[in-house]
Amino acid sequence: MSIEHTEPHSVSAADERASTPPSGGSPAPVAWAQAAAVRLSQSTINNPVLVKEFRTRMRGSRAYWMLLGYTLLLAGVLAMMYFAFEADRATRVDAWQAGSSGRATGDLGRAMYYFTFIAQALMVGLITPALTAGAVTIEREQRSYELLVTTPLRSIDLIRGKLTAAVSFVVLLLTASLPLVSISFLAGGVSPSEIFFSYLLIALSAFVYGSLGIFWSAALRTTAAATVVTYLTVLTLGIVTIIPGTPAMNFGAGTNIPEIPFKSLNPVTATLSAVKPEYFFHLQIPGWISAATVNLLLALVIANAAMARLEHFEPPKAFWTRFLSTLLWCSFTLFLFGAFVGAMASSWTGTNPQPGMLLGLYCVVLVLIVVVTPVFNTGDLIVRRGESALGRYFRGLLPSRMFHADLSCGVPLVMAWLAFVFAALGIGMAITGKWTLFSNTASYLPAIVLSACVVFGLAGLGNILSVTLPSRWAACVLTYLAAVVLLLLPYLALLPYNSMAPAARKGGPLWQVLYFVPFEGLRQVTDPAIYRTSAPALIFDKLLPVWVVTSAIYLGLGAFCFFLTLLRIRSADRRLQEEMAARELAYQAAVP
Amino acid sequence: MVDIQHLRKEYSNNLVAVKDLSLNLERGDIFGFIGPNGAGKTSTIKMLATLLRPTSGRAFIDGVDVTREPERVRGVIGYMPDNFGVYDDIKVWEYLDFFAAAYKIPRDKRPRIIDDVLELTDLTVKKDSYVEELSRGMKQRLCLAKTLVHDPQVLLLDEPASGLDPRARIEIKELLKELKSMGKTIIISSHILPELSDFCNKIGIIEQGEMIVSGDVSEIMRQVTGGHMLDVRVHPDDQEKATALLTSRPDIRGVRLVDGDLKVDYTGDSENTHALLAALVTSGIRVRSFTEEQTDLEDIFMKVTRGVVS
Repeated sequence: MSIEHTEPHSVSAADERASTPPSGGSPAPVAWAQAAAVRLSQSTINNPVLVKEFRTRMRGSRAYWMLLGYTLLLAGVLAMMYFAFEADRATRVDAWQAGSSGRATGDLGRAMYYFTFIAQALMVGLITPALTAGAVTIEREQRSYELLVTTPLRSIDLIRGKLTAAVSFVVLLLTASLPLVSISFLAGGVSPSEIFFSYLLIALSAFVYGSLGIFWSAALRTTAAATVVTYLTVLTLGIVTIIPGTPAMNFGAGTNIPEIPFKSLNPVTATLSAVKPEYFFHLQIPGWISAATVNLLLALVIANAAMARLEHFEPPKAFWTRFLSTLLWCSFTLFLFGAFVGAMASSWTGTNPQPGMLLGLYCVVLVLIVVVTPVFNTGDLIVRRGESALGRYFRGLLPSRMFHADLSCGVPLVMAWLAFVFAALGIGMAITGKWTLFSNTASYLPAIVLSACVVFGLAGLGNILSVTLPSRWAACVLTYLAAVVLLLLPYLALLPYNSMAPAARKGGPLWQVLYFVPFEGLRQVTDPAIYRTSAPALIFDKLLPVWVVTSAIYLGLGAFCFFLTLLRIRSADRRLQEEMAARELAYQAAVP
Repeated sequence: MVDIQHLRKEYSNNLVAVKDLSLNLERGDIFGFIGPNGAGKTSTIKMLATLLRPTSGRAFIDGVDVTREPERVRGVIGYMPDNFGVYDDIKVWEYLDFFAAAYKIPRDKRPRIIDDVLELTDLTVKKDSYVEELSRGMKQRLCLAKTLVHDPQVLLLDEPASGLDPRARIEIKELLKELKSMGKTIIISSHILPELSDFCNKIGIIEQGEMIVSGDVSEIMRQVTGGHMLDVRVHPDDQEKATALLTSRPDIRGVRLVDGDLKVDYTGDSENTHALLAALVTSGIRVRSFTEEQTDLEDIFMKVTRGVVS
């Protein structure tokens, strides 16, 4: 049972004193500016962790050897690429003289740009984890962590200091590569803005990797373990994102393949398409905008999660973790659908929405739901003194408590995110001029209802597992597992489904599991004509559309789970109240 | 200043480190926390230092609850763990500057404070040395210096002199005496008693998580020993006669012969030892010296913990 009991922490008087600006009767804007300056100095030059990291990082010869190694390696890559290019050109020139076309010198500039930045992106991926994976574990290993904890340093000071120091060093390395990179200007074919935004994106990817390193460093015991896990995470992220990211690596311009935000998670693909136009509904925006936004938010979310892993320090305010991750999901879905809808709009000739494309969009929403819902709907119910657990649970369902960390606060949060997704989808369709989506309410509204019901069902599952299992992570993993089973397993049971002739699909009990799959309902609403000819015999075939039954199933699942959760909380509530009363009594007796 | 009430700490493996520990210290008290290794000293100090959450019970430092408002408590205490690490690749003054900044001491005030604590810990000559160049004793003093930068009212020192050579040990001791004169409340733990005997005014002996005795040093001495040890040296020929005479007296518990001296366990009033001397002299015993022996903490410790340790 993961109902937690906490006691309110009052804000420390010292902190209050530190955060009040030295106003002294000055007018509001001046006072505000002063307060901002104090805040800025506290997070930069007055952050002791950052100052110490800077001092030790640049002391001795190690940093200079790293700089030398970095630039030499880059110069080596550039030289090899140049000689290979020249050798290739010699054969090209021969070929050109024999009648085929040769390459322009502009190609050399672009090739230099590609090679230097691919090399830099890889090196940053290798160097940054090494800089941060030991950040917290080293403090633990050399037994200086306890000394830090007993100072008034906050977790944000520690993480910010270590992270800023590491990212600054990477930025220093990147700056040192500037002379080598600018050789590509000599050959031409590269614009300064391209170079600038490529640097920006590489620095941001260093921020992401640095945050990952810090996160594992805070979560694990030893530097060795943190380093290994960080490299594995970076490698996995790199491999997973390179697959959808490859279309972005088309070196030429003017391809019709929509650029999707997954590429922004991969430093190589993101960097190389920094200024390539990307669809954003009816607009075309340069690729760096989506990449910068998504990477920045991702790094901030991971850094926030790292703060929560620091034991003895006060955890970060749940608000920021939730707010930032919601912002991340919202921007990610916005760029994703912007790219999809934009690409669809440009390839549509008529006004009829293509059913396959709509179905694809709805499926993406479903996948995102499965990713988002469990993590936000598992957790602890934090009950404070003088409060009933049940009351606390119901209060968490209020939209105003969306960004709080309680168990029940996830439902309004994910629902709000879902509303944002469908609003973006609808408005995006509208502004691209494909109004037919709204005339085709038969697919838009059912998709909204169905998605909301799936969220409700999964959230209910997450809640009941959270209050039943002892660990939050067990609940979270089981909810993910349940989501995958519900959404995919029926297909495994019905593998022969697609190979059968429609006439052979007679009604059988096994077919009914298709009602569990929201995908089926979406198939039916997006293209009823085709579905009718190929549909299996379901019991409510003539009576109700598939999506209605599926929605009802998930709604029922959710309602059942919430009911069980309430029962469980109620039974625990009494015990908890007694315990709290006893503690309060003991406390009152002990206060001097 | 420090108020501990029924503090209890259980670890997840059912080990009870501290059982029902209560303690009350006034401002300026120097409390010696004595016990064998693994008795629960470090657990208690860590709970006071907001590093461990007590299983039950309360602890207040300067009236602030350590579990409810740990951030406020951290500003009042200076904590020195028994096994700590210092950053090696940094200079002594930078190390102190780091902690001064962490304690939010304004930049312009830091140099003076750093000089002061270096002076106090006798490390002024090492100000620009790297921490890794310091000897173990110096590192210990440096750690003590860092616990002093924010002028804490309560010092929690966990085995501050462990693993030091005798000279460094004496230096730490001198330093602690100086801190005592500055009016700080100090809780200092040790498994070695002579370390504490000269300057603690209160002691507590802990064993297997239980505080066996605690209170004023003089009071405990009276409580535990209940008498005085007298050291009587007489002419070797008179030893037997003196032993016979002394053992016959009702106010004497026992007489032992140690290295030619008679160790006399005297239960009477310390004001009346002269009567004993007079009795010896009048019966013709050639008394060469007659002194009252100081009972030290070590004796108390052995007496109190006897039999429980093993």
